[in-house]
Amino acid sequence: MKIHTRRFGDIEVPNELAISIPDGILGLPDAKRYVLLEHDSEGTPFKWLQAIDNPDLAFIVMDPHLLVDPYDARFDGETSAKLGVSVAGKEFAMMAIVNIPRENPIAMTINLRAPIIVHLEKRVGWQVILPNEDYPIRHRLFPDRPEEEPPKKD
Amino acid sequence: MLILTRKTGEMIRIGDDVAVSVIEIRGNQVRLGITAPLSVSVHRQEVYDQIQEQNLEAARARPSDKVLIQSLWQKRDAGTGKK
Repeated sequence: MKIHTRRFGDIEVPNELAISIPDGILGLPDAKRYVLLEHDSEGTPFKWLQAIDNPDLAFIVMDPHLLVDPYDARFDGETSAKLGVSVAGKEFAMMAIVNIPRENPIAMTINLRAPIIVHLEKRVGWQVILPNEDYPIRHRLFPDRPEEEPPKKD
Repeated sequence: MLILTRKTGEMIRIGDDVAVSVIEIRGNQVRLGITAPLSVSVHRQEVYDQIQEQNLEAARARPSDKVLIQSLWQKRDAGTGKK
């Protein structure tokens, strides 16, 4: 299928790679179909989760296991009930949304608390809020480095 | 919004499958017990709001300096001794 994207132009993607996110990402419930792209990501662990039906909408995502190992993403009953399968690690891929402030990339953060969990075979996924309160919603990927004045956030 | 007044020990039923119970009231804190089927998510509002805000911010972000980001990762991997 051909996908229009603002960042990467028009691209051709095999239909079977589409991921359905029936509830959408929190705050963006209308976008229910996505595809994972690796454009522009050499030398980084990032991928792009591009909305199929909205050329402007894409998230930078990353496997949280690369930062936190073990990553305690024990699914609560809600997720396994929604997926209709019993949970086993290998069937699922996990991606956490990364936020890279343009004016200060060093201050980039990743949402460890609410990853997107995708059943690889069924090609269906959800953004799940994990019960583990130790996982921050904004986890700094580069805590060691001095940074310029961080943007004010509330 | 439906507003109800309840005392400690009383309950509210939402739909057929969700129940909210007032367990304890202490000062300005209310301890609530929630019974819901596994398919219904229950979270504190602030967590929900923060995640939504973070999602929207991430969706709006336009990272432009690819070279800088790549070099940050190279330094990081070098520092941790990864591949």
